[in-house]
Amino acid sequence: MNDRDLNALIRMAQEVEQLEEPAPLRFEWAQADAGARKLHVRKALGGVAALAAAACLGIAAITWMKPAPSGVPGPVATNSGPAAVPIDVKVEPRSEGRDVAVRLASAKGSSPLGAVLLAVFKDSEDRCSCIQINGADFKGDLASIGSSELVRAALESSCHENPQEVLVIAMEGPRDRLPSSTAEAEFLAAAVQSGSSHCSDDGCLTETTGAFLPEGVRAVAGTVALR
Amino acid sequence: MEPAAKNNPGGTRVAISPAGMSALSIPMPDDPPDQVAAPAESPKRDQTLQVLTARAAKGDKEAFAALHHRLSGGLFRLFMDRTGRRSELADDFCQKTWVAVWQALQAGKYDPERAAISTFIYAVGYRVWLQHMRSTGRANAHLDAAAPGMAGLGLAEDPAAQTKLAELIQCVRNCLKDGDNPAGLDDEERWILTASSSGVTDRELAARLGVAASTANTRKKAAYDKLRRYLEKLGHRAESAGQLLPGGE
Repeated sequence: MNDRDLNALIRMAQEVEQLEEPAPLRFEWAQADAGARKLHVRKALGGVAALAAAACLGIAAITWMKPAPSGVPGPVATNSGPAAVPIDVKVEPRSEGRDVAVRLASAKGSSPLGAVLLAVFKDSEDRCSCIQINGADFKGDLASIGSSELVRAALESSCHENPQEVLVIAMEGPRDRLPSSTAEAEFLAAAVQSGSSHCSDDGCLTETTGAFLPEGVRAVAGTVALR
Repeated sequence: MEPAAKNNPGGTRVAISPAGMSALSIPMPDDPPDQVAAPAESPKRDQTLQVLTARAAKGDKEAFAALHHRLSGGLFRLFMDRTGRRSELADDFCQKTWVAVWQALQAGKYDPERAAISTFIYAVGYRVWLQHMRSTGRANAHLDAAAPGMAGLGLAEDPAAQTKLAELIQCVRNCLKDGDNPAGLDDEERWILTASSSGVTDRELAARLGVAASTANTRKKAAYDKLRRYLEKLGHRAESAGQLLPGGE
């Protein structure tokens, strides 16, 4: 066996090591419309791979690390001050999942309250067809908003013509701790999808969503079959 | 700590995030091979992969789903690198690979004694990619880049060739790991092999080792010879690789 073959084997061995390591989330844009804030995300794997309880976006290995519990939950942002205002959502090229997590985790949380509505639309084959994020203006307390109302809000500007199912996540909190770009929305949606495969109701989904959000951010999540 | 949830009369539960959240912990993808230490939890993770694979081989779809969950990200990234960031193609390759892995498991074609499941999945994926390259007429370009012997193993019609490739790669993995020393390679020799295979020149090796270029070359040859002898001792020879090439090499 010559050196060239050995080199190939060594490189392959190193690639296998990398295969075992958690991979940063990467997304590809098939289409982006800055005006309508539309996205298309990667289709989930079909066939046998569809048996997997993997994220709808087909990308797993999300390890959003949390520190050891302090015993007392930190302060939660409330709406005692001015009402949360919709935040401007940026359309931007994909960002590293790591960067997203670091930014949201390290944000000071001192900015005014904001709110966003994230929606993930699935087609008839249970594949993510598109994802959208909009600055939202929730009237009243987030807790009083039902998932059907959220879905209605999401469908008003749906990026999919004929979705079979939609996952909606409404978030409210310090603006600098909310996902504010399409890339960040992708990351969060994938995290929630991946972590909620065991969920059978919206309560579980909401709790799972909360686990991925920074301190002080409140969320309501729901999933609705439309057909 | 589970996030607190608050019920409301409307039935909607609001998740209130727990205090704090540390930054995502992900290894830098560009770390040079000789600086990546095996994760502390690696043995536990390997054992879990073994358990999942054993269950999947018996038809346990949930176990296979968990296996997919664990490794699909890394596989997708590998294909993204190979395809030049073409996500649709990488997606397609991933799907074919996982289907082939499932079929191989059900057919009893995977032997955990010969290779880790990650190595086997890699070998299957490598074959998928090579078949695509051949179908698009670019197999020759890869043969020049990779090595005729290895590409031959990937493309060989004999299904056992895939397993053989996985076994070969696993042997090399074992040789390069800290702690394991089946080929008798010391730390410096392992470093020389990984650096040289990634394109580091003899001169650069010499500078890094603080020795003359001729000395670096001698040490490099010794390292390659050790690895070669070890693989040959296990029965992996150039001739056997050549026999698996389509039409012979």
